[in-house]
Amino acid sequence: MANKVVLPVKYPAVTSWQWHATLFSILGDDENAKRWIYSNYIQLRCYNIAEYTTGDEILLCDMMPGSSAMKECPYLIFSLITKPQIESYCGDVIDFIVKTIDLGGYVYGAFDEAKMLCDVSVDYKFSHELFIYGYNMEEEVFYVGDFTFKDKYSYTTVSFEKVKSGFDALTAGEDHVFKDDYKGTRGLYVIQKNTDNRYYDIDPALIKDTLREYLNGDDTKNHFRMMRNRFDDTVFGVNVYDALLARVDKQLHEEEPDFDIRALHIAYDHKVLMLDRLKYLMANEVIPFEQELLDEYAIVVDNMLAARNLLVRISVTNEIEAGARIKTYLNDAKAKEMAILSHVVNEL
Amino acid sequence: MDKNEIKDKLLEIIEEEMPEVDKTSIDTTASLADDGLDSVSLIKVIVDAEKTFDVAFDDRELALNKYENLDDMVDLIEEKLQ
Repeated sequence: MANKVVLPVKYPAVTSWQWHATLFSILGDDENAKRWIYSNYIQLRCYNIAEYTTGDEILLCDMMPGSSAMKECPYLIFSLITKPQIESYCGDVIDFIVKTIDLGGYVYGAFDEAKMLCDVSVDYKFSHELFIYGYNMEEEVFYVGDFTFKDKYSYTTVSFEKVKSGFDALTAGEDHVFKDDYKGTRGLYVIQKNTDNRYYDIDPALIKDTLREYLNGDDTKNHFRMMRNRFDDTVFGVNVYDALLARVDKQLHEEEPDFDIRALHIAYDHKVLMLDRLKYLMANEVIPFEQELLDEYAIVVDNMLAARNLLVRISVTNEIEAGARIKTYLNDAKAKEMAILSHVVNEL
Repeated sequence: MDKNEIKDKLLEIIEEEMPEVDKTSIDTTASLADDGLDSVSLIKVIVDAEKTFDVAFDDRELALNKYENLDDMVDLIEEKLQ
């Protein structure tokens, strides 16, 4: 056992949800992984759901693949290890995580992070996914990636003791990562990079089909009903712009306005990734190089960023009437994006 | 108001908004992220700066990637004051 092992991570290009931030942290700029990432992560979807921590209704917006991205990415090996397995193999979770990292495995799963945020004992739980990518035996800390410890996704350290108490505190029913797919199971995921060989090529046909579905607002999930069908998603593709607008309007005009920016942030990340995809497709001669098209799409990205930042600004100033400008940014972005992506579909 | 005065006031605002940041340790030529600012804290600083300097930032000027460093923001405020 080494004194300190830190597996490679790169600050992620997509920070909207922990599953994407983890995938992008591990795969970074890997050239093989890009072939899969740019062939996927095209469709956008959203639906209303009760947030598991507060019970409040939120508009959950995400790119596809969503929380199953790490399972489905061929450039990661994603293994489920149950709590009884961890205890049987290693005795306790600290030993398990250290041994996993020694073997080149990253660890991901639900922990009670209230135990990590507070130095004193608290009687409430905050179940959240923690991404662990290293340890230091001398300092008795794990290196982790998460949104919980600062206002944004960040890499930091958490003590062995807090990680153990955060793991032990959650029961099977409280493990929201496993609850949906493996009801009654508590455990962790071990993730290993699988990038040495080219398992997946850039897929122009898939990109074209998915872009069409994005532009038409089609239910892309219908293709995946063999694997899961438990959610009744409501809105897909460019129709997400309208759902975002309705949501922003509702949240700003509630008796106590709600300034949750997450749905706007994922929509912004979607545009950032789409611009990267267009550059990649042009650089690899999948579509012809057109600087004007990239410049136009950069305006779509700017519009989404302006909309997200404006909502943050309103949360500080309480100038609710400024929310009208969000509508302008989103409508402009939608019109421009539809024109650009329709052109790209014709080029593919 | 000259550049140095703008910079000093801006550093005071940052310290007020982000007590964990020591203004003497801020390198105004380094990236804002290196100085400890993120998207949300930058917007809070800008809202305070608008009141302090009596200037207005447009929505696109709220973006972290608009500024290479704090000196860029000082230049923009100076421009708005002219």
